[in-house]
Amino acid sequence: MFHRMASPEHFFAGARLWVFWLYLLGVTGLAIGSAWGLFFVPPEKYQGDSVRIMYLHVPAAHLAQMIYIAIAVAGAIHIIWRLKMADVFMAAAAPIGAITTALALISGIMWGRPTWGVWWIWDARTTSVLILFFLFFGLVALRQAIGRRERAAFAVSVLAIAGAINIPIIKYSVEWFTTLHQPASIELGRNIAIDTVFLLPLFVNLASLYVFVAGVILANMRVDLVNRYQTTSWVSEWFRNN
Amino acid sequence: MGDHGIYVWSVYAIGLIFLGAIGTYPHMALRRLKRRRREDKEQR
Repeated sequence: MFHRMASPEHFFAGARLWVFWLYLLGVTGLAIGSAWGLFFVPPEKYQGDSVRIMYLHVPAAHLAQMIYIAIAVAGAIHIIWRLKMADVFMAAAAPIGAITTALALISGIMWGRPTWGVWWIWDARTTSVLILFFLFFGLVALRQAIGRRERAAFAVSVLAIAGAINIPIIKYSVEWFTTLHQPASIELGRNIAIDTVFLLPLFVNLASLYVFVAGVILANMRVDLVNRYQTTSWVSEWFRNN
Repeated sequence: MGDHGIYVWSVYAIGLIFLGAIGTYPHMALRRLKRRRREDKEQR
């Protein structure tokens, strides 16, 4: 199956149904999780109603880092095995990573004002996430700046791998430095510092955002494949049938 | 939601716009490619 999906033609055909189901599941889950967080969760003792921002902020921030890790892995795969689909993935995922990071930053700013009393603070966590946004932006800009596709793919792969150093910095910034941003409330192997009443809608939105964005990246990959292989017979056939 | 309402609703409105934009973009792009292909064919 994996060998088949490494073929652009098979991937393009197979991804169509996945996109539909991932969109449907993701949008439904996000609607349920957001309505749950907005209308059925009580205000938190210290944060008050601004705790409801967490149901978008935490999933967006988590997903943004995971997208970057996936792009860096795809970059390594592209350099080692010259797998074209790895480059297609990088091209499709980078703008989505930039937008999810922007959503994490904006929701963090909107949460900071009522909770911390400031819109923005240059602490290690917020600054490293801002750097993540610039890295995603850099991946998109670098690809557009280099005309030849193969050279662009190599340059983007190198930047993605080099920029991956920022991910552990984001993760451990709240432990290595004195920050206003609180340490992680949920960590594997440790007690969860959030009550279940706040936790359940958070998990629903986290899982749903992952599912929805997986569908968006697959859909973006299909667009990229049509652009790359416009002159091939299978794309011409797809145009004829649609 | 009192004083926090403006922040909470703004975040969800921005989230809806961002997610709506990334969700619809690929479908619009495919439609645009199809239209361009059809126009190219008609010109020939």
